[in-house]
Amino acid sequence: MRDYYVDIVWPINIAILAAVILTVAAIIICLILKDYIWHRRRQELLDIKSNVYEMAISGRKKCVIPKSSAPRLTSRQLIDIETNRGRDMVFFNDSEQEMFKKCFITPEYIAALSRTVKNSWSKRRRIEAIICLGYSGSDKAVDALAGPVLSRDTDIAYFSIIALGRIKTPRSAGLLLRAMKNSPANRLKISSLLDGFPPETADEIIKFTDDKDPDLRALAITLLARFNPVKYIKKLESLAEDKSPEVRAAACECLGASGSAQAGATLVERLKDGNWLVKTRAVLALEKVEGAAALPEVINLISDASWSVVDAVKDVMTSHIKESLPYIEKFISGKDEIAKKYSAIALENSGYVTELLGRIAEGRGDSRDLRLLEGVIKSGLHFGVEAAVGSLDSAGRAAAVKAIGKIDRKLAGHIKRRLSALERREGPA
Amino acid sequence: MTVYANIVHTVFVIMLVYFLILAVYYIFLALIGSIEGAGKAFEGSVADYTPLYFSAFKIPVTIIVPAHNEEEWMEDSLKALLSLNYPEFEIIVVNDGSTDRTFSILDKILRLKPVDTVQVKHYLDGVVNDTMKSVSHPNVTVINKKAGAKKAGAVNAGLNMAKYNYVCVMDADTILERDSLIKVMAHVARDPDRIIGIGSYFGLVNDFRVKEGVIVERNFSYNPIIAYQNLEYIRSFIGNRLAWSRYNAMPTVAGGFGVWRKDFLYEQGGYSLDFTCEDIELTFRAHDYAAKNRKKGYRIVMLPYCVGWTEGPHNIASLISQRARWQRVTIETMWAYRYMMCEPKYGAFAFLTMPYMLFYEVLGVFMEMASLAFVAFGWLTGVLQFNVFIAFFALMLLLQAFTSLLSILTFVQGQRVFRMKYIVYMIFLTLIEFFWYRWIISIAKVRGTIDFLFRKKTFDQYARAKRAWAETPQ
Amino acid sequence: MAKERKKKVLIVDDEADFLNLAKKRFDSKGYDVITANNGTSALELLKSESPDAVLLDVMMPGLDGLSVLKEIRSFDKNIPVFIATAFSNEERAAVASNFNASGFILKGEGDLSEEIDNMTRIIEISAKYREKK
Repeated sequence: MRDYYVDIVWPINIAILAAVILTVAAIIICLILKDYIWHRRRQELLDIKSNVYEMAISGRKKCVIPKSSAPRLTSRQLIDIETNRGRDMVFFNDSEQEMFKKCFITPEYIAALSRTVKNSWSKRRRIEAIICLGYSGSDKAVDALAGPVLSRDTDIAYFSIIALGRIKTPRSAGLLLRAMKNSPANRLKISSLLDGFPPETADEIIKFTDDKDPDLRALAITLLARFNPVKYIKKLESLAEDKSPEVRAAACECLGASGSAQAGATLVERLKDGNWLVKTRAVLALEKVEGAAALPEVINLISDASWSVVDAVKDVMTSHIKESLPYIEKFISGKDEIAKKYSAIALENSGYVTELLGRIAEGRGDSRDLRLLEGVIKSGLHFGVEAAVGSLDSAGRAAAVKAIGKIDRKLAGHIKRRLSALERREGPA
Repeated sequence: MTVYANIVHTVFVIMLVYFLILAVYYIFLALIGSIEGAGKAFEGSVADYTPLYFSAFKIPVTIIVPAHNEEEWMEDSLKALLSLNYPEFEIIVVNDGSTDRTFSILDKILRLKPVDTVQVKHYLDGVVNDTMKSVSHPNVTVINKKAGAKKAGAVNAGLNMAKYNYVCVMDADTILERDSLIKVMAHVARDPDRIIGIGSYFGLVNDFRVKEGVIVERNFSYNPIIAYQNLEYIRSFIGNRLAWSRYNAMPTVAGGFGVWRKDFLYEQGGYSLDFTCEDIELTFRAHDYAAKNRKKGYRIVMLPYCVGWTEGPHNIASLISQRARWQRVTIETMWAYRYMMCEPKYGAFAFLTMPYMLFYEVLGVFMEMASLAFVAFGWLTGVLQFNVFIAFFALMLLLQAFTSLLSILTFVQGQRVFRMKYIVYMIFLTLIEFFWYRWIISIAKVRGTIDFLFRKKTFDQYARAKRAWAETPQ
Repeated sequence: MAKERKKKVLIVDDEADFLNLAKKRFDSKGYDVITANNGTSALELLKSESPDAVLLDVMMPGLDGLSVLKEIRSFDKNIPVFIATAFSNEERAAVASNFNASGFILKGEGDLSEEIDNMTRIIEISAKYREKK
């Protein structure tokens, strides 16, 4: 009975001991192997670097890949050189990277990468090759990415999208747009990747404004806004009558971005749209197209039912505060509470309150200034008044507080207390 | 005598089975962890961060730093945060009733100015005294709060002010690597719909040289207490959680660094003030809530990237009190969520993590002590021979070393954080761990269990080890 | 080629420990080493001694490493400049491309021998290039 325990336990012990020894060995081997691999990676990169410099010195056209490295540039090496990532790696600065690319990224190399993307059984190899195709930045790489970007495998599709984002050509943009159609999840990402593409991209994008999917239509129009859409005003004007409100709104935005006065009439028409988003966009776009001249057209929308539209009108007033003053005066003394509030906000946001308080503090304020100030304070939205007073010098502060005190004694007292607290903290103004 | 022998026999078999199951479980974790780690390491090595700086890819993050008497660390961790390499983020430091120089340090770096804010209290946070904005760094807010609502309250106060939909909750003594957030968020960007929480590996900063929030020298400490903690961090972050993460069974997103989706926290009501542990409880609750309410599925993820460095206790007494607290909060949480155990609704979490937490984290320490006491008693009373005692002792020692080594193996496959020399040192430490360090932790765990049983609720989440080099004259 | 000119390296750091270690390593490689303990004197030495390469510490009182590097790049685009730092990967990549740094070494880890090997190779390569130009 006694030996029985020992007989069970010792064999187990020996098995675990063997496992322990094996694990330790595995750790050590893993460490040594990793160090060696990193060492080799570094040496090969150094070889490539010196090769690149040799090229630059001798002015030779053809590039010779050094003996110690693999028969051709591996994907890993290209990624290392491009990302400069990894501990104690060999770094390639911008000019070296350029020299390197000129030397190594050849049509044959891209063809080899394309083959890897198509044929390799290892997903990692494929991803690496896809990334490298992106780094090559060459239009020739686009064909190889046509398949993967529409792949069902989300990883492959994702990396292909990123790679295409690096190849800034119209063809690549066309593919990205097709991917956009294919995978709704990646739409926003793709649209942001298209940011730095050349102007010709617009010709690809316009094709998608006739798509069946209204979301895609709207997105394509929004994208078009970034590529100087003047050429497509006619098309956009017809899109502004689209069935889908999102599309109409996007068309308005795009017309605004075109900055062309030609669009004015269409936009004025859209102000009467039934949808709040379209109206909002139309207000903002009209301002972009016509500037202050848009005020008479949009100002009546301040009593619109949707706060978003009212907000847009307020923004227009804010950017053209001088021209809006007659309207604001009317609103502030009027009955419409919402118009009153938004007028007050426009006055504050535009910095007019600061200007006006400055005049009052210097004693130059006219009756209109006082009326506006009263309107702002009475509207209850006077968060900015305090800061505006704070920006004056001490004599100005006293005068401003006095003027405010005539309108609202409580507020004046509050501001005075806050200002003296500020002065205690930071010294007098 | 035969009855007695039968009892001995039964106990013996139970113990043996327990240890063997543990060993098999660890081998499983190491295998899965290696696969997961290698995959993540590959993803990290080819990841392209440039799109994250573009408009629609960009994911703004609010970083919340609860701080209570952090004068030793505030400057370094804040400066590290300010120089973070990330396209858009804001920092909210919640000064939770500090009585030391924490606030004046903040004021010196940030030049704070009080602002009027309208606070919407979505989350319970206690009494907020005032809110301040930095003049020199417009993306920094400091909330001065009355102490008393625990760390959870401080984080909630930050959540109330947070602008962005992703919040990174971290400790004030963690020094982040500058690319930490972009690495983590690059992973979130791949699957923003499902990832609700994400954590990553971090190590110990003890003995590093830190200047102005920049780590100047990474001197990994050879002080065994520190090195053992480094080892434990590897064990829990890489050895266990990486594999759990693959099956979406993560029990904790560590409080030192974790990113959460705010809309999800909002649904849950933020951090709970009823517990003294904010991180583990929140993660359990997240599993509970998400499994019931999220139809599309959810993920709580662990990454193997080293995102930062935190200070660990550097003497035995403070180590014991830290671990006792960890143990207590683990048991508290396990007790509160005991209904999740082996409940199919919760998936792998209920079958993979919960039993492990119960049998190893909660009861394991007693199992170990009881086993040793049992064979020792058997030997002393003459029922068992001395060589049985030795054999059993060796079994426990070897198993302990084996599980640790597996974690190290998983770790070195994907990482090059530590140099060879340090890894070898760690291997050596694992072999002698059973002779002393193990029992320090065991004492701490027993103390934690007692604290739990007697309902001791201390508010010492902020309890910090003193900065090691502050004590040695320089 | 028989008698090549001894190459000269300028090492800049305010800490003596690292300075000595790096000096020892470069000495054993047959390099001339000149040292400076702050940014300003480094720039002076750079003009008067015209070294073949510079090894810079990032954290220095007064003029810090990156400003020194920027200054160097304003008059010499090609001299290899190495940065001693504990920056993270992304940071290093950014510095490499923005400031044209030639390489990085991590302080406080290891005995530098591998790093110095790399550095000397890069120095050789770019010295040849600079001669030709």
